Amino acid sequence: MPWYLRLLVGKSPRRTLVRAIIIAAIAFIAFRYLFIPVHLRGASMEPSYANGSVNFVNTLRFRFGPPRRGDVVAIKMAGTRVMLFKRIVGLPNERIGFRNGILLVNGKEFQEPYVVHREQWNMPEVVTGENEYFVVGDNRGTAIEEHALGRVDKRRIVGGPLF
Amino acid sequence: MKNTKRNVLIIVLVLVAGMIIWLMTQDWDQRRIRKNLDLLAAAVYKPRGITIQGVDLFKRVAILRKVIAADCIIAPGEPVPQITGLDEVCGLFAQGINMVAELKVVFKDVTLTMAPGRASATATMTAEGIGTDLQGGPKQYDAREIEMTWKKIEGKWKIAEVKEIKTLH
Repeated sequence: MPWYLRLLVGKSPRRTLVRAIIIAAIAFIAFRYLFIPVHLRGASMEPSYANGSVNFVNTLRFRFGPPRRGDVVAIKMAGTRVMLFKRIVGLPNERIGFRNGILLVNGKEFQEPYVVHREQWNMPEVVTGENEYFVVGDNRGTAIEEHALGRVDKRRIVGGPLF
Repeated sequence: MKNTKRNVLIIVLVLVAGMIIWLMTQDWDQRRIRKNLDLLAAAVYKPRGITIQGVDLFKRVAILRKVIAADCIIAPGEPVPQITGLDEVCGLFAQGINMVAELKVVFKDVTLTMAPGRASATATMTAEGIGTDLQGGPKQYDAREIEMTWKKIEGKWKIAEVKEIKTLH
């Protein structure tokens, strides 16, 4: 066997083929169901996650425990090909609002160290439902009307970023 | 030689049978709707540096007329106001398509549900729009979840209604 073929398929082509099939199957399952690759678009999560960066959605992240306040989550839209990256600021059955850019949880001010850009957001309190979380992006440097935030059903939360 | 002929015949028969089974199991209504979605995305696609005018514009408007019902209601959500009727859709498209430097719309995660009787269908999807303005600013990106109602009008599938599904509310 010429050296380049041997380099390509190894000593035993059959064994190499089996290995390749196993690796392909593992990669398919891993990147389709467990660690879904995502290309982040938009500045909504800056500076924590930059526009244009690449990440993976870890779908196992909340399998063993519910999301907590401060967790970044991936929220599916019609499916998992397009997802929203947002941070959980409100847990189920809580009152969430904004006053002069400060987050209010059940009427009390909540400090968010991950927020760098902050506009004077004002939003009357909303109450999350039994199976709802309140999510918002880290970039509060735009007007609140231009920012996607709100309550999300927990069934839409697919997982969290891998890193 | 005889065996070879027989083998070839068997392969041909298997292929023909497979083709027949494939044709019989296809949902042609769903395929037509998905094809119309592709046509719609192609009609509104504007590459950078191209002005859409003349015959090209007529062709694109003809596609819109082919896939959208005359009495359609399009409400994709803020900041886009509700558009009613095919003429308004075509008019806005003809006026607005050259007001952006480039535009690309992609429909992802399309799920189609046929209504009983197969005279209408509901499609949920994520519509992704990427564009830049004429001033050459950064690329603008928007994605929203929408529900499209399709109706079979004179044997052709057309969009009757588009409305936004709020992912966050």
